[in-house]
Amino acid sequence: MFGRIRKDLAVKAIACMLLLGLWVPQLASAQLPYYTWYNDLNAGNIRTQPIYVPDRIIEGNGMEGALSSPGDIYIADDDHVYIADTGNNRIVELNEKGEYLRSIGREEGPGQLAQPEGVFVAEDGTIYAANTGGQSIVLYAPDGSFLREFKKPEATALTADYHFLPTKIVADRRGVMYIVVKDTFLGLLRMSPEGEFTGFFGANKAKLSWLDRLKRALLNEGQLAREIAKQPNPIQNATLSDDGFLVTTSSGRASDGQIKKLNAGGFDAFGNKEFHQENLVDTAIDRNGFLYGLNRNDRISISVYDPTGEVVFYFGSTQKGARQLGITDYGISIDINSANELWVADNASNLIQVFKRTSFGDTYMTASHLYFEGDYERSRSYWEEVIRQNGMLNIAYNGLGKIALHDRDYAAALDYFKQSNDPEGYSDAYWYIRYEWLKNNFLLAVVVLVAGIWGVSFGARRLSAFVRKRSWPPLVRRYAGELRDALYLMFHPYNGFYRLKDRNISIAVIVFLLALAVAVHIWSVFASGFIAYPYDLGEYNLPLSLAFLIVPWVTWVIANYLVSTVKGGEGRFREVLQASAFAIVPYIVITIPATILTNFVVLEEWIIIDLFRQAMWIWIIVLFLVMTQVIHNFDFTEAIKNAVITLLTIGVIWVFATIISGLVYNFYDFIAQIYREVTFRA
Amino acid sequence: MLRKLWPSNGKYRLLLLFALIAVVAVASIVYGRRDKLPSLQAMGIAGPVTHFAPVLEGAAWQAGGIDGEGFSLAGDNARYSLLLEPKTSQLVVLDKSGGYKWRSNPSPEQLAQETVKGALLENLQSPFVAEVVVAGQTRRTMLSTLTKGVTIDYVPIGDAGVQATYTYEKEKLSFVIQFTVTDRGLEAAVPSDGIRESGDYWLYSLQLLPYFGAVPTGGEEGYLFVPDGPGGLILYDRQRPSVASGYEYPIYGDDPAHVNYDESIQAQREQIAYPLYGLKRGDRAFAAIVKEGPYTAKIKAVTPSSSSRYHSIGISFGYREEYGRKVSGITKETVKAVRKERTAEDRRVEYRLLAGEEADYVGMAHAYRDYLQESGQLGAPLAATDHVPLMLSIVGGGSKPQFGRSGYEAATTFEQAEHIVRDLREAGVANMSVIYQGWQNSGHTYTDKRFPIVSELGGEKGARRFAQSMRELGIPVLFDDYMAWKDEAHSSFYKKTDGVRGIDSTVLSGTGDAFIVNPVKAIRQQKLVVDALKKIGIDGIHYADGPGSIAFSDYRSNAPLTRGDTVHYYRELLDYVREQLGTAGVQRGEQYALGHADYIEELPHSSSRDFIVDETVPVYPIAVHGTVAYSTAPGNLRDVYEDEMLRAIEYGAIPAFMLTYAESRVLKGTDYQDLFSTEYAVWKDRILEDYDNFDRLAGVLHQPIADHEKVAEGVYITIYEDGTRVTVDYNTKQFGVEGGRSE
Repeated sequence: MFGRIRKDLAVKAIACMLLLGLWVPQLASAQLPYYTWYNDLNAGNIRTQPIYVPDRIIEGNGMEGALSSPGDIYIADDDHVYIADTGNNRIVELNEKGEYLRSIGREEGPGQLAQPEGVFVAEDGTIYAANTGGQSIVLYAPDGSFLREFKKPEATALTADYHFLPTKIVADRRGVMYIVVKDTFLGLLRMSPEGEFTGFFGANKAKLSWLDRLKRALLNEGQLAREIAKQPNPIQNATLSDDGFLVTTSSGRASDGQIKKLNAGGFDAFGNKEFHQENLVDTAIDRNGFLYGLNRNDRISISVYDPTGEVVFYFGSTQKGARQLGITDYGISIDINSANELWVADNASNLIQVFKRTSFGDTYMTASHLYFEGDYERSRSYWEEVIRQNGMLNIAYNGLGKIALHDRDYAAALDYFKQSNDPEGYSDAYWYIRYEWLKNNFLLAVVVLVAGIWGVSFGARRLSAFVRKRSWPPLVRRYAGELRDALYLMFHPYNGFYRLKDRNISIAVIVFLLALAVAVHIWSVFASGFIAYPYDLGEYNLPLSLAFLIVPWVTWVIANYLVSTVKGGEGRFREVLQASAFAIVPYIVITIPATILTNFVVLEEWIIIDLFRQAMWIWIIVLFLVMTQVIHNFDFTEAIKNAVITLLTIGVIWVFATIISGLVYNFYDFIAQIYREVTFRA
Repeated sequence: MLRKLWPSNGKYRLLLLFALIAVVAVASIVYGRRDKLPSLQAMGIAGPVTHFAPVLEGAAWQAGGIDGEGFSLAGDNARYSLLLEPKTSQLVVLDKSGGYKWRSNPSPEQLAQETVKGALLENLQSPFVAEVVVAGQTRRTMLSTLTKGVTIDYVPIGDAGVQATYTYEKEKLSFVIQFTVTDRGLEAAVPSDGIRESGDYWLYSLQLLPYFGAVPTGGEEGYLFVPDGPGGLILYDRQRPSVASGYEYPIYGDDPAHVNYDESIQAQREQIAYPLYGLKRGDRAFAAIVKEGPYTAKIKAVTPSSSSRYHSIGISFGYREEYGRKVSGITKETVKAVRKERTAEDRRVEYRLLAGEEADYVGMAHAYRDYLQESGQLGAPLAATDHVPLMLSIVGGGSKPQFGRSGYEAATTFEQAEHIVRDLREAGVANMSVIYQGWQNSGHTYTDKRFPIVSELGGEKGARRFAQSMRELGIPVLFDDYMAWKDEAHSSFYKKTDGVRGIDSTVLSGTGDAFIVNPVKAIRQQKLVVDALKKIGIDGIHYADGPGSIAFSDYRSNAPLTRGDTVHYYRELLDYVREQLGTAGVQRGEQYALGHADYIEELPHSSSRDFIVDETVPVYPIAVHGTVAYSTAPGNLRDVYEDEMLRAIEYGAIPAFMLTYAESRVLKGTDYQDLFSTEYAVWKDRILEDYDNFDRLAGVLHQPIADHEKVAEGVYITIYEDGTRVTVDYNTKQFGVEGGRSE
């Protein structure tokens, strides 16, 4: 959940950062009309050098008429480019350089196209056209001659109000066609090679909010029918990957799985994952499984995903009336050729934009590909080159860490994983280090441990003997006694709190305990192992975390006193204060060993730390409860009731504090504005 | 006496005490907020003085002998004659040596083939197109010399030309255009004092000579030249996407005071850095230089489309702007309005006519360079040098979030900077300058909280020691600084009172808390910076933001500033810095900063990648080379490494790098985190390699570029005055230097 929120923020942050580029003339040179952003491993977005640069446009010079509202682009295995030139009622074929070869579907008679919006070419060269205007699928032989045409198939599932407006089409090796039909939520229409309807495929599922779920649970069928039906995202586009997966693209937020990678059984390899791009229209997939999503209406136009579906880069830009290379107006289709060039069809500008991969992009993508393949050894030189060209990317260090782990250079791996903020990798490397150390030093460890325990207990005994022998000033004796009571209270809460009744614990001890708690908290942040805070510690907001400890405690003291006084509790304010201070002793006592332990456990054993923490909080809560009961001399149910009311009061206090601070701020602002107005006019 | 005033009643005493405290508090705040900045007088800077060109009065011009097309002689000199057709004010400039005629409008034969009708046809026959609006409205109508109800009065300007006064009866509007023939061609001027608006109509804009030399579609060789980046060519008769039939952009970019940063989101582009446009047809060409009034002008190039058959280029002078006026302070809603006041600026364009060898973009660049030289806007020629200077930017570090607060992260201390410089010197970099960044106390860019210098870097003591040892090595040290945009969190200025005001008279606001500080205040503050840096022994200031890269107006009611005024103050500041410290550097180096800066970082060197622009040519570098040292992108931050190195060599730039001593990653989270690779140890070898490459051009650093041409696809030659030829091959990624001194 938290991860998702962070991602959302990251995506939103991108828009902000792009805006920033507006007024800040960039320190790095702005030679391209757009920026490239990198979505860093376990960190936010940072700007990098481009991985793709705009290379050229293809606008239809020498194509027997310029392109008109191109609707789809498909690059065949031989790198020939097929464009559904919708406005000109034809399919255009270009060679790998973008030079015009021929037009298909122009001749009158069977096979003449009407507003085709999709094109696909099978391995054997058969050309499939989604003949949108003609409400049919048209097949051509490799030489461009008409083969056959499929109209809307006869099937009971396809009712009369199902309009067969095919916009995109792909066909698998067997010739089974998957057809994107305009304005339907039913998914792809699957058609056999003979043109028979064989079912819908890959439909999206509407995402239900908790309100929808509640409605479903409470309302009866009649009422439900009156509700506006939740419709999932319609599928916009489909692409076939080299390894036979069907990649579908949907835009909108009504359902997850904006990009799906479906196998023949309709199973999504990405697990219906939510992609944080709302306006995806098409996705290209390269040989190595990297995906290139085309966005419409967003500030950025292309997002690059790794084979697991995580976004890596953003680049390109969209603008109404785009007139610059690399800027799309109304992108509609994207594909990639064997030279890794991205071809983007722009429906509004009537042209094709071609993006070329830079050498940095090549290096990065190769390194990343080998990384995902698990071929760490070969990826080493690529990662090193990536670091030579860009010192900011965490994933490069992560890659080197995995290589070091593979080479059993655990110390180096530990360092690399730390650099790349990767707790899992760090934990793995640390496990090996610990294992080796134990293997070599097990006997020594046991001896040291035993000697240590004995030494400590011996030392403690000697110390207490020494303390007892000497005569201490009365003040010290009093403080020591009170502290001993604090420890005693931890294990004997009823007796412990009872001892506090009608007694004034010295202020010095209370302050000491509170200060100690704060100090222990601060110490724990710095002394914890890397896994506890797997990021640059500078990002940790220390004052805020302290506020989260102190403010609730202070309001508890106040609220508890107020509530108990009203409810007839016996406790004086001083008693509530000292008891509340004593109640947080477990925090001090447990945090110290837990913090030390975080340096020695790996991620799999983290449950120990979590158990420690949870036990500590339960302990503290129990102490507060017992405190309410004993200090105010309530019975058990009364104590529970009062504790609950205290919590409510805490909430009320916070609400009031918020309102009052808001009012005070407004008042201050009012005065400040008047002052400014006066000074400005003066 | 005092005791009498002291009230006996305790309540009154308390009241009096409070009153006293309040008075003291207010007084101390007012005293604390008083204007503490040094005065402009102390810096020897005077405000801008505007002279308006006179409007001539006198006897009407008598048209002499009228030729077959209705033209008669209006101006004459040894090289050119100016012919004028009195009815429409069409012009012909006759080149006496070859008899070639430059026409302000398509010829009658061409017009005969025209298919357009109405206003479009009328505009084709007029030497200008004026746009007017009715007061209070935004709908614009066009006026030309063929509009009904126009009367034209001509007054001769000596032998050189005529002054035409165009009076529109219905609109109750008149303005004056002066056409004169010069020994380089034609000059056209629109004096501000000649504009009369006595009715409801306001002059909105004036397109001057929109069809001068216009080339009809079909058959002719040549191109339009637009000042996109270093220079761009629009070739004739290319099929283009329909969206790409026009180029219309403001000189020096949009005035920030006219931009609504809440709404306008546009793709990045290179703003126009110099007011030059041109046209080439066959072996003839012209270069048009906007000599006066460039700050509110747009360059407009048009290629054939449904509304015109011509390739044409001209200038559009803006007199008023349309803007969104905020309806209330609460909503962001705006209504469209046109500014009431008219921009008071003289306008002047000179057309320098070129023929033969010079009739290309290199000739245009040379004509432009001549103009800059004649008008004293170009710097003095650089001294010859044995080694090319390396521009070494060193990033000290920056502030980033630290435990919920902000902490400074050092990337290069002064000591480490010295280490880098000494190491490079030992490795063979004979000549270099240092720009030190990130020294400002706030640890942010776009700040004016500068002193004391960040202690993590070594503080003032460290800076002094660094400056001292650099002086011993003979290496000038510049500190970078920011003049225009500020982030309120890191500024000592108050956005509300010190920020410039936009056209809607509210304080201009960028993204977040960003604002532009009033240039006069920013400049007055610079005296403190200069004084402090002088004490430390720094040799100059490099302005990363401000002079040379941004020009804006300030619409504050008590002391408004035009873009021209801002430019004036910026120039004065640069001169002040040079006088006090020795060196001034600027970013981009737009025309107005030339001659006032010693170093230009990132001179415009790449295009905006417009569909309409077919080729990018180094016109601006040709115009300024040899008078100022400039760099392109820092070597370690190139988008495409080899190509941009070659481009820098082709354009005659000096090598530049932006480095840190620590690994680049320490800059993550700071304002410098976009610098993706800066670590010195990683880059050292490539710096030395780059330096050796650039050093082969050391002999031509002080020379003007004589010629530049494309010899094959991806192969370009730059020829310097002494005959040195630099050949750059983007296909093989090689370059060669032949001839000249290096042989």
